[in-house]
Amino acid sequence: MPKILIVDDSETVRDQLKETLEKSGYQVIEGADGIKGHIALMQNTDTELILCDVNMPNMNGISMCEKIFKDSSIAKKPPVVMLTTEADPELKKKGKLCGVVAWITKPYIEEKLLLAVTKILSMNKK
Amino acid sequence: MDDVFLMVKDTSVSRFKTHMKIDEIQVSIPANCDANVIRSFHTVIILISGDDIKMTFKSHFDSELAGYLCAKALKKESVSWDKAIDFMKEYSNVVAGKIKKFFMDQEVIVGLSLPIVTRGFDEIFFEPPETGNVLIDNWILSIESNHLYCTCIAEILNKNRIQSIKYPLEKQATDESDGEVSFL
Amino acid sequence: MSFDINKDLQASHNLIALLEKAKNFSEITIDSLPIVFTVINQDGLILRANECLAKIFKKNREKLLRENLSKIFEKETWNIFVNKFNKILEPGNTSVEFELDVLGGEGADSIKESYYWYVTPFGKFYSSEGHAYVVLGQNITKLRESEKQISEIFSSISLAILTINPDKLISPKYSIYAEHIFGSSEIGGQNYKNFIFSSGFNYLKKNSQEAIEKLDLIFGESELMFDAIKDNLPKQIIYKRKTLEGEEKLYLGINYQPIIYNGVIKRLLLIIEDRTSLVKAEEENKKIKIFDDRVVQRVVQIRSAKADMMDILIPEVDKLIIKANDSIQKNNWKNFAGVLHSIKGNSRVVGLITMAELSHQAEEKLLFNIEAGIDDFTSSKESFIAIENEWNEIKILYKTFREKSSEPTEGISKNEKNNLEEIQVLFEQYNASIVSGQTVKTAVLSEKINVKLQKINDIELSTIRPLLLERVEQTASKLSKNIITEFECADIKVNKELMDLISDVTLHLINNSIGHGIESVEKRLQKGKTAEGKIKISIKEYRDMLELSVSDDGSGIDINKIKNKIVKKNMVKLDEALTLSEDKLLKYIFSPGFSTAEQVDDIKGRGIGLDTVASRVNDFEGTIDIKTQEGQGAAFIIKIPCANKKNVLRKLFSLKSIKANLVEMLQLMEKEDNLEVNYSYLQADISRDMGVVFVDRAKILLSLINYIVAIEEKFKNVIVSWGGVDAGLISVNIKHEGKKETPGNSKSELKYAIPMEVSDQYICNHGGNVATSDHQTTIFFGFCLDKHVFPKITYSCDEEISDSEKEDLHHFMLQIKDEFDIEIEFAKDSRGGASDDTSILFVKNKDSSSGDLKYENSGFKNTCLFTDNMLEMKKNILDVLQKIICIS
Repeated sequence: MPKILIVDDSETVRDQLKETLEKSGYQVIEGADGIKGHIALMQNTDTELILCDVNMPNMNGISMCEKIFKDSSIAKKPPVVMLTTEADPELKKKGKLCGVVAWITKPYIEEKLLLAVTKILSMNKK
Repeated sequence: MDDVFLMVKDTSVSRFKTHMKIDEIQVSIPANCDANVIRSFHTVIILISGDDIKMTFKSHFDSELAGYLCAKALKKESVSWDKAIDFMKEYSNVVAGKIKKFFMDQEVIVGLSLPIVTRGFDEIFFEPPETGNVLIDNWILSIESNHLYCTCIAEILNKNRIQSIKYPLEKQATDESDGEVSFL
Repeated sequence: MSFDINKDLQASHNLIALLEKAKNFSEITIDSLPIVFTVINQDGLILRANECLAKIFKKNREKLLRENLSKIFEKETWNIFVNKFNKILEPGNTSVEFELDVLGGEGADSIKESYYWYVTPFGKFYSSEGHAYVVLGQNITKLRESEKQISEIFSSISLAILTINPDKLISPKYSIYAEHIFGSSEIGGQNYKNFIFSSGFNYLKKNSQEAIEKLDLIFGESELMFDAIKDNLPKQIIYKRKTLEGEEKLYLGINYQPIIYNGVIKRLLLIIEDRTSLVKAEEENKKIKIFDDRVVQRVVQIRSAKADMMDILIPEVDKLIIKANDSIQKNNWKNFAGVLHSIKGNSRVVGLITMAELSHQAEEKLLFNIEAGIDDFTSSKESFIAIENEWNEIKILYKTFREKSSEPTEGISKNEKNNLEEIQVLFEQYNASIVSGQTVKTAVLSEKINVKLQKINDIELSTIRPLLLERVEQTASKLSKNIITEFECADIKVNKELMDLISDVTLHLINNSIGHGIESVEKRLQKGKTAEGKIKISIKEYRDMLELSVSDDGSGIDINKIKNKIVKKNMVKLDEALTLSEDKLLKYIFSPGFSTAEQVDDIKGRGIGLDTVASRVNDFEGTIDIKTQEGQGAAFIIKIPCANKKNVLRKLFSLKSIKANLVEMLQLMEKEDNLEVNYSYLQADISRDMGVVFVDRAKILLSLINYIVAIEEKFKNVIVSWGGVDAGLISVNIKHEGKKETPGNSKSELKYAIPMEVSDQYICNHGGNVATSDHQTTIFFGFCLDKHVFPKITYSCDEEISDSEKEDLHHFMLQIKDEFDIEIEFAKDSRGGASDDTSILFVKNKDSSSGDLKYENSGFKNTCLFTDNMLEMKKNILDVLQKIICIS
């Protein structure tokens, strides 16, 4: 079962995501903000995908991606999918520079999200 | 300004449907619909603020309603109070998010605050607006006997700018940008 | 750009999250407070409510928005609430506190609970909701209940309990009884000094008044301030209570208790009780006593006055009284003084001392006033009223006595009449002997008078009858038995102790009889007895002895039961028990802890009764016997000597004890090195302590003993010897070394050193002598110690005396002979016989058929009359004996 890390400060969002992903057979680990997300990643080196929000306390999503990108202790850097209300192109550019492969606007549509996940995972395997 | 309020109302409705995963809701107008009074036990407040306009979106509910809506959406028997509150905060968030998008599309720059939950009672600490630039709108979103009270308070700083905002019919109830996946 | 905004937002993110948490916590705290916390608008609509209020409403607290607070109150109560609430709206008020009840339920379920409310504006916020007000409510139901309980206890105590606050006012929380004591319901808020102490302030002693004044100062001070004045605070005060008729004087007892907080007196607690009835009872007692004393004085004085003198005096004094009143009317005070003088003189002559005193005082005062020119004669008038009253009382009393003495059968018993007459006679003799200096006689007579006066207080024995009969009735009905009582009692008087003994013993025996002796009606009929049991109580007097008998016709005393009991209780071994005679066995009934009754109840006695009875009878030197016949009944017979007379004689005749005193004292002196005491004679003479010493000589002897002790320090040697064989002689030989005084001086020294009775003059008058030399003083003291005091006594009696009476007489005379070691002889011939003073003739009836005064020339100097009354006769014998002794 592929492991997906979801990082969002809203418990509701995490719950909903978790439900959606687990239903589709994915294993889910969580982080409530950027820092926690980073730690979770370090603890779960077999993470295959990161789904994260931008606006979070302590460390936002973009900063977290930057950190992960620069972190040499993490060998395998999984692809990041931003799940956010933000749609700023500048932001998107920044994200792309540190590993963000896709950008999904909140609220997400379940099918679209799952499709995207599958696509990215399969892409990665190659 | 009517267009703006309409837009807000619509947003609250559409987001309600997606967030709560409910299809049919009723919209009604409460008594003293342009006053800022205590509507319910809890209130979630979120601010959408910029140079041209300062807007507050509030949703009022009691613990029972929050629990009901959250459990329904998550398909659970019952949920903890914290989860239910968080759920309602998230609702405010998504509503506010869409409102922001709307404004941004209109080139009115605004920023979002964090949603905070507080007691309905705290309305007491808000002084009634003196200037004529503040407009208040109230409505109720109901599913049968469950009522969610919504308030929108808008302080117009740049009349011209705001008055020029139009909320055409085409734009109404469009959520096509929802869930849009763009690969970078 | 939005990114930058986000950075700023992020900076305050944590802060906002923290505040949200903190605020939530505060909200939860307020919600869960144990008091009602609610915020309402000016219309009474609830804007927020906490859990406490929700409970009262029985609704979810989240649903209370815009509920009307009035719903938890009754309509009238809510109106009060609104009134109080409106007071806040008035300027100058910031909050309002009040107590109001709340409906804790609905309809039939509703319970009223007491709440204490505090309402205050909620800050200065004015929102779309208008002004808000905080309402706090504390449930004080339990508190009020406890208060009520304490208050009830308070009210039921018949004491006024008041608290004085630091503002010197009485707290409105006082015990209800206070209103009763003070006769006012407006006690709270009064100044305590004015209210409590002012009405009786003038009656207080000066230092009490000062202490009261100082009471004000103790508030706020340490306890020491109170200690300084507490001893002077009055424990009892007078309070004038206002009633419908006017004023009532009360005596109140006060207890002061300072209440101390943090080492300082905060309040004063006063506990007050109404002592009026106690004080009044005491005063009544005093009055009665004074009255009694006065009456006795009058009686004594009247009796000591000579009858014919009184007859002359009465009309004279009556005339004087009229004259006195006349003078007063005419304001002729000099005349009045003269009259007083005459009254005084007359009274003195007859011996009416009180009259004389009153007149004398009145006269003196009056003369003083006249001389000093004081014009106020009201006190003289008052004194005269007192004199007049005294005189009237005397006249009445005198008349009564006169009537009584001339009509012997009027109202009072013979005994009483005799007593009074005897006292009169004794008084005459007493006065005469004082005048003639016959101290011995005086002493004897005074002793006798005392005894007689005591006897006046003696109680008629027959008065015991109703008490005994009632007890029989009570006990019989309690035990459902039928009893008939027969009661027979001697016509005598006894003193209180004897009376008590008789009644206690008889009551106990009655209980016994009915409880143990007399069977139930059924049993009796079965046995063929009458349904009613019979109890016979008789108290007889026989030869100095009082014989009390309580007998019944019940089942008698079961001897076997006694045997069993004493064996069971290990009082006696079985084989011994079998050999004991009935009499001996019966005696065991009187052992402590003995009871043959299975049950112990308060009617039959607890098994300790009979032994107590026996020991009490023993104390009176009496005996108790039982006669019983199984199935037929039992009788308890108690014999007690009538101690009265014996006491008199014993006082006169106990040399033994005096001698014992002397020996003891001398032994003590020997122990001290200084004195050589030779009292060998005393020791040898122990056999001679049968002797007669009269009271005053006994006094002399005892004084002598005291004297010897007193001179112990002054003089070196004291030799005491007890006289020779025939003459009772005591010689006290005092060697005083180093004192080279002339005989005369040492004599005078002696005079001063020793008590008056033992002065040489006195000693000489009584057959003693004092011889002094340089080195010693010897006192010889002769006693009428032996038979010489009693000459041989001859007695006889006339024919009218029956044989049994003669027997009695002989028996009695023999007793006297034994007791006093006197020679007594019976002369058969009543006409001849001895002619000296020591002869006694017993005559039954002076006025017999053989003509009156027939024995005048019989030669017997002393005639004893007795009229069927053995007691009287014996008294007479002893009187004669006394007379005989006194003559020598």
